[in-house]
Amino acid sequence: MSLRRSLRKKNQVSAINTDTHNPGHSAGSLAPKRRRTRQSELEDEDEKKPARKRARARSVQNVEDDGGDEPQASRKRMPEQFRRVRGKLGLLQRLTKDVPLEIILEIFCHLDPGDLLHLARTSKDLRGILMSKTSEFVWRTARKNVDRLPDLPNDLNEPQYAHLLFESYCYICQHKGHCDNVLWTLRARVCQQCTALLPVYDVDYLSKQPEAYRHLAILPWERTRVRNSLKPVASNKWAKRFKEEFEALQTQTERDDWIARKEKEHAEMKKHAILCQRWLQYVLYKRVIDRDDAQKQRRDDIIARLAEIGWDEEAKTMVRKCAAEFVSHRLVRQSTKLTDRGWNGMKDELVELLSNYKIKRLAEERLIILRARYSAFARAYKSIADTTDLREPFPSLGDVLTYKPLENIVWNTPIDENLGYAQIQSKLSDEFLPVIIAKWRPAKVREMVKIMQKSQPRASASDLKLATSSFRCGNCKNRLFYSEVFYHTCCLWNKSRNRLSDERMSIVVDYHTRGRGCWESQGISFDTTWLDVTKMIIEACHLDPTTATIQNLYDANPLIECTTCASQNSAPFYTWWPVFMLHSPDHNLQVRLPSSDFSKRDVEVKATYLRSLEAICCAHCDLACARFDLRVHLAKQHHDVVTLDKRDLQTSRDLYAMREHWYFDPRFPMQTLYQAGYHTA
Amino acid sequence: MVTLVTSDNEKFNAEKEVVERSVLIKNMLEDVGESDQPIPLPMFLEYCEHHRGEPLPAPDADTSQDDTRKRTTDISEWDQKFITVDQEMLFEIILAANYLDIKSLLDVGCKTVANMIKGKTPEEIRKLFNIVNDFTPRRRCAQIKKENEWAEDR
Repeated sequence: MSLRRSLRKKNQVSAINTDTHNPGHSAGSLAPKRRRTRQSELEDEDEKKPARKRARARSVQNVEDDGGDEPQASRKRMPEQFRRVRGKLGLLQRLTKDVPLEIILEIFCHLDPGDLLHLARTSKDLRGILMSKTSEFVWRTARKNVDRLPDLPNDLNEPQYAHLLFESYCYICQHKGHCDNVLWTLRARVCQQCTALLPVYDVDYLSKQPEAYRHLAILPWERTRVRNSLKPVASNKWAKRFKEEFEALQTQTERDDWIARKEKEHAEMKKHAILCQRWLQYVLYKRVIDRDDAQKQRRDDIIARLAEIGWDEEAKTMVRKCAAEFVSHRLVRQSTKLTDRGWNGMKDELVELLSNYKIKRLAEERLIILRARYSAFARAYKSIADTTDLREPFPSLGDVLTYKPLENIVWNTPIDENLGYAQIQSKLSDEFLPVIIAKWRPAKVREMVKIMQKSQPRASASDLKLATSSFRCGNCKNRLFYSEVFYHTCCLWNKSRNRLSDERMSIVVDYHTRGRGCWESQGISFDTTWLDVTKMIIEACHLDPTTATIQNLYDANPLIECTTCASQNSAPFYTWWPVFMLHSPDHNLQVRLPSSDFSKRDVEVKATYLRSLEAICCAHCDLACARFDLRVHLAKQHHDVVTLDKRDLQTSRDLYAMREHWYFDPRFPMQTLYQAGYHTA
Repeated sequence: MVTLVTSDNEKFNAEKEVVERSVLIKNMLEDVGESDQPIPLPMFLEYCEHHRGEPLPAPDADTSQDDTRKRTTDISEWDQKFITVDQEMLFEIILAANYLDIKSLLDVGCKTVANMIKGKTPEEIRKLFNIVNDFTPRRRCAQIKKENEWAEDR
């Protein structure tokens, strides 16, 4: 908005010159008809009120004393002062010189006492006006302009009250920082550090006061935080003044009256202090509310301005999704009103902020989409794995997700193109997995054979599945059978060997930190600790150790008695073949096959302790399912090939009875599914 | 219609109802009666035109010094735009409003100046009004000491 310029600007210099010499004739054509100038009014007042006149005379004297210059010389300097002021500032100095006093006072009536106090400190003239008795109504009006402000207390005058209310520095250290700790009863602001300098209102303090009133409610005190605790503090000055007043009194009656008066004043002061404290709380609260409102207004204005230059959508998105960054930006969080000039100064920086945010936002959105694609592939992988015979090595999720063609689909498909789950699943099952498995499985089997050959040089791939072949994880020390090794968590914490794949995966998902990485046989070794015991168990089951598989051993279901544990516990102790390896190799183990004295069902129910409900797979469709659901699954899905007799249906927990219809899910090591053993009475 | 002449001899015609927002002109018109004589006047027609028809303040209302009613510094949007002028112009508007006795315009001018003062430190006020600081530092300290005298010796 352009400013209208005065038509009389050209007469400015001459007008000011005229002002300095003849203040009564300075406003162009209006001047002769102006009613009263401030000067003339002051003169009138001076004539009427001698006290006021004395004040003015003192003021002039002070100018001479303090400045060392004559008043006339000071006025001649005014044009120089004027020239030092930039732009149009400073022209309102004429208000203080030429405008009628009633207008000046009317202006002052729109201020609050704090502003009046500041005005009174600008110059001796203004101090003279404001500290005059005749200006008391200005202070009264100014107080009325302040919401909820308690009335003037009896012991303070207007400027003192204004000082207490609005000057926010500490009275003791004079530090200019904001001090909101007001000791209303003591009529002072004292910062947290300086409260320690005040005397504590305690026995020592009271003992120094005259006995006549030391225990009466006369001396002001206030509870405040001193260092880290609340303490009642008082004032030596007040105490001294009271003492002087009291001791100056001659008669007992006068003293009694004085005490009664002080008690009353103290009570009033306390009441007033409470009102002031409430007012201060209100001010502080309102300050926060006003600041928040102003900040919100400024924010809205900024968004509106940004909308004008085409950044509306981005600004709103940033406020919605990344409010803290936008709202707390140093240019936005201010509570000052947005001006044209301010906007022009900040526009470029805010546009840069939004541009950077847009780049960041697009990158994040891209990342979200990439993650969603990987997640969809992971879900598809799990659904396929859940219906696959995992007893044969199956590539890990990390191995699948770092497969190059899959990566290309994830990263190279345009971001705005939606890859449906069905499409992803068919791609994975029909296209990628067969290729991955064809390459991955033989390689990994070869690795395992090599590991086995370190102990048994003649070992071949077929030997891996034998019941005598067990492996040991160097990391967790667990013993694993062949198929379990490929799903063992410790083997799935590896990054991709391809650097680009690893970088991409690391950006998008923490794929290698949750056992979802690439499979590596590092740390796996062939375990020979239990080889002889295993052979003994297999032979005890009338099987050939060179051909017996894990499944054969499970079908035989040998019960193993540990006589060492039995002797330690004075009771027979039984365990089962998958978990005998949890015992010490030094223990004496004896094999007992299920017989009449050991009910097969009893053994089974007590022996199998499936921690995971989904630890078995259907032998017909390889579906991973809960052991309690197996019966229902067989009845529903495989009723054409499976015939469950009545007993099977009634005792669905008897997995041993249905052992031809399921197998252990190799993703759950068998040892962890069984109890370590149990004692019999 | 009434003919008004500014200080630089520019003439304006305005309706009587508009110019009568100035108590001074209203009184003049009442004193002079119907006349072709032009009335000298600075530019203020725009303001009066906008506020045409609004009730005039009662004569001598709140002119006494005892009027301590609460003042607000809220200014209407239009008035705010109107008063967004350079300081010299603002000064003249205040003087003219006072001279022509247009209470509402004087009020807007006073509020504007008050808003300029509000929340400013003495130094900022001095800079704004080009007021010479005639206090010596010692004297300024003495003032503050006097204002919180009791706290000095705790």
